[in-house]
Amino acid sequence: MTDLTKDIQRLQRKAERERTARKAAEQLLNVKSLELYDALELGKKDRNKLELAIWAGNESIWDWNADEQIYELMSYPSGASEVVRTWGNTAQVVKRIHPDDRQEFITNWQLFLSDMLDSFDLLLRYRLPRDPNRTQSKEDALAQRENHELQLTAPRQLTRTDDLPTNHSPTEASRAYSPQPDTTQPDTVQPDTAQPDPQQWRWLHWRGRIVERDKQGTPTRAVGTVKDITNYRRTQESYRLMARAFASSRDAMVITDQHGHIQEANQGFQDLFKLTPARYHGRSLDEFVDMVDVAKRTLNEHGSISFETSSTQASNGNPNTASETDVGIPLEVSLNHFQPDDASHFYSIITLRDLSERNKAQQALEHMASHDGLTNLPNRGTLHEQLERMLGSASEKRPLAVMFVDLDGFKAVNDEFGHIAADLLLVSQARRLKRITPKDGLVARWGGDEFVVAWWPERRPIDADPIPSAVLKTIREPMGLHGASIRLSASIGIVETTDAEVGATQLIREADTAMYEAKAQGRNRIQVFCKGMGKAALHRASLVSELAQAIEQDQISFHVQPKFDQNQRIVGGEMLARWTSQSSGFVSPAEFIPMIEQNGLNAAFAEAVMRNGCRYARQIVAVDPAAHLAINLSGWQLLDTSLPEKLKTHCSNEQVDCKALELEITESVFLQPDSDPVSIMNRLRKKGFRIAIDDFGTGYSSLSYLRDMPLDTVKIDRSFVIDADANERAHKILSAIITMSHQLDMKVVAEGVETDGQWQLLRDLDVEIYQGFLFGRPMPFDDFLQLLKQQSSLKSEV
Amino acid sequence: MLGMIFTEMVEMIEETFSPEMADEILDEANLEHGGAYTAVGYYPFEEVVTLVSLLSQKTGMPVPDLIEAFGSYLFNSFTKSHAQLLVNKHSLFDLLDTLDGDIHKEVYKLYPDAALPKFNVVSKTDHSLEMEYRSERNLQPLALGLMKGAADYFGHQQVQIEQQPLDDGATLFRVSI
Repeated sequence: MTDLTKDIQRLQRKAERERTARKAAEQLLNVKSLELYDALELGKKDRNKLELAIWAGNESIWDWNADEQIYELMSYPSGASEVVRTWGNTAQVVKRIHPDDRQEFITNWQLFLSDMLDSFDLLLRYRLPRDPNRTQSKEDALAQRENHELQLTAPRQLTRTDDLPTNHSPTEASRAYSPQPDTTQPDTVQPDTAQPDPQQWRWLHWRGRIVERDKQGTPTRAVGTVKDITNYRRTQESYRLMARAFASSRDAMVITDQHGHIQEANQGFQDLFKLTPARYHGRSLDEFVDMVDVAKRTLNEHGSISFETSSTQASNGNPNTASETDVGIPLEVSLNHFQPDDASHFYSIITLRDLSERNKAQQALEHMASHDGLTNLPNRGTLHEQLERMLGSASEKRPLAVMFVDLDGFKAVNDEFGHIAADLLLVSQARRLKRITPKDGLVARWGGDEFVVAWWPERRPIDADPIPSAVLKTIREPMGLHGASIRLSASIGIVETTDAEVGATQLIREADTAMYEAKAQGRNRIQVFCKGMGKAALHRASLVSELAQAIEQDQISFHVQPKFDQNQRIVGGEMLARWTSQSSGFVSPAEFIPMIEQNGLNAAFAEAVMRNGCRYARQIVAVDPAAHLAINLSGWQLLDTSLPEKLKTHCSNEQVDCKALELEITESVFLQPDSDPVSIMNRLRKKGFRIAIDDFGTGYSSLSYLRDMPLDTVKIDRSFVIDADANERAHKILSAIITMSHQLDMKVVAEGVETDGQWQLLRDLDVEIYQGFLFGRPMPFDDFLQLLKQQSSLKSEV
Repeated sequence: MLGMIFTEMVEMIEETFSPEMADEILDEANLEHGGAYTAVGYYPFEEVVTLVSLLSQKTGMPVPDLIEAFGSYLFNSFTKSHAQLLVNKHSLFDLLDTLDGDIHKEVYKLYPDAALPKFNVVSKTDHSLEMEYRSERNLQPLALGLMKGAADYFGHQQVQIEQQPLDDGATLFRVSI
């Protein structure tokens, strides 16, 4: 075989191999093409599945790359059939984040891109764009990227050991991204609501992972999802709020299943019954609450009901140890049904409100409304109510008595010691009255210092019943007040009735009238009501108002009774008030002076006395510089520490020397509790006033008064003078008083000298000054002044 | 094994020795497909062994030398057919450093079923590099040839490559340039 032949054969073999190889390659290409097609189809399907899943989950996918600093967002807007793609940059995202969340986003994003977080997972508030369908092209996103100052790239120098990045404070972030709407902002996220309010913040859940890195391991691409979970969060929040409301409600709340077995209970329930969950869970509600029948029915059916009941046990929480006398907790129960979504069964929610406090408060309110706050006695309203009820049982055999009690001199205590002390006194007296009043009786506070007692008297007539005198006696018992011992008295009016028809109002009025009568008769006494008293009371009331007017208008006139020396020469006079009422004519001082004291007219009256006294005294000394005028001071005036200055002012006004005035006081001054009349008297004397003790020998006279009191004059009470010429003992006492007074350097004045015999006797006893009808009755001032003038002119003639 | 290895080997025999030798070897190898290799196909590894053994018999050259020579030839051929793989690579070390990461990744895109050896660079300085080689085929001479071809390509005048077998069957290549 030639070489040529060999070459030809070799080339043929090679050609054959090439052909065979080409066919094999073509065959391979066919197979690969088919495989490729299948793979593409499968990929498309998979991708489609993925997109459907994203669409179904209402999620969007973001794909961020570091080189371009932009992200691609793929989402399925509602109604769209295909994925919508839009591009944006991180700065555009930041701009829409709630200012409070921005820094957290920036920090997390930078940590994420620095590989310091395994994944990006963040919840934040976000404002969606106004136009939800607007998209932005990749080119626009790239262009917009240039416009933003901040590029959120990973700080390359960061490593896991570095501090957290702090290069963007929240304020910086807020400054960098103005809140103005950015019209270039692409739609980024699908809202979970069809038409979200563009002004509303949406809650977005961002998640992502790094999927690619460069040679240095620095993340270059991150992919993740973002989802609007606003509605979910709102629902969660709503559930949380409801759960918190249930847990923190102060009312006890229980959830039972349809068999009435407790499934859940809040702290309020545990507290109310003092139970731990193990003690009630699964147990029937009616073990704890007395479920009324209708409630039991409602519990087993659908419906709602509210009712009041009580717990089956006392609040000690243990039904086993609760005794039969234990009273359950009063409860207000409201019961409602609700059904879970599957509707196969239902639950009841039961709210239990502890009414104990409400009931207590209600009782307290009722008590407050019906009782006097100070003394805790029934008030007027309650008195009427209860008295009417008692009256219903009154009969001939069983009369009902009503007593009206008014404390004498209470006003003075009030003025002197103040309201608080006076209140204490009232409380104390109220307690005494309560002690005296029989159990089936009634004590009420009428008001001020007035009380009403109603009782079933045991004896008749009513004067013979022991209760009124016991009341009078108990009120007079001394009482400690600010270290002093105070003794009060009472004026008591009583009425009794056998007539069940007579009204409570009338009974109280009649008792009140009788009390006024007792007061008019000198207080500290009991007066039984009788017909006609009403008129007297009415008359007195009108007289009082007339008197008040007279004092106010200076219509009280002042007479003067002259005083004489042993030579029957006038040495001065005593000023005495006189009042002639327009309606009733002349009213005796014995009548109107107590009216002044009882009706709070003291101060105005005392002013009139002092003013007129000084005026008179000026005219008297103008005639006879040695003469003086005596005026009467009430006991309460000696309690007034400013009295010396007041009197001095009056004297100054009239330009009269204080020596021209003699101040007559009574022994009652010294009975005033906690007072210091001596210092006031000393101050009066220092100013030049002379002081006389009036009616000496009556009342509670004590020789110690003569020893201790700074007195100039002793006026012996008329009773001693009247008895002295007939009664040996009276004569001796009179003699002793006079001698003693003289030895104490006091002048003696005899009052009520009416006969020559009395005058002779008193002159023998060396009394210096005389006052009485024998020498001169009280007379109008002008007449007195005339007498004085005559005497003076005689004197000058002599 | 990738068909490309076979087609390149046949071409090397034709170019380096003679078309006749290539024809003889393919003929004598008595292959099922008659030696009709296509670069995109896959063929059993044993066929390479058969071909190289026949070449050794005919040339009297040792098998490892032949395989190493083939490696150098193969790299040279790559520089023409897959030039894009060498963009941005400026030295032998650049190449070796990214062998598993870049080059093989690209290879897998074209030949998803390729069974490529694993290269792991364990140390690297400016002038020396240590690399572990792991392969089921134990074609160290092929790797050596490829490296030498590459060194030639990058213009390294003096390259030294040492081999040191490791306990786990791998081979450590110590390359200095």
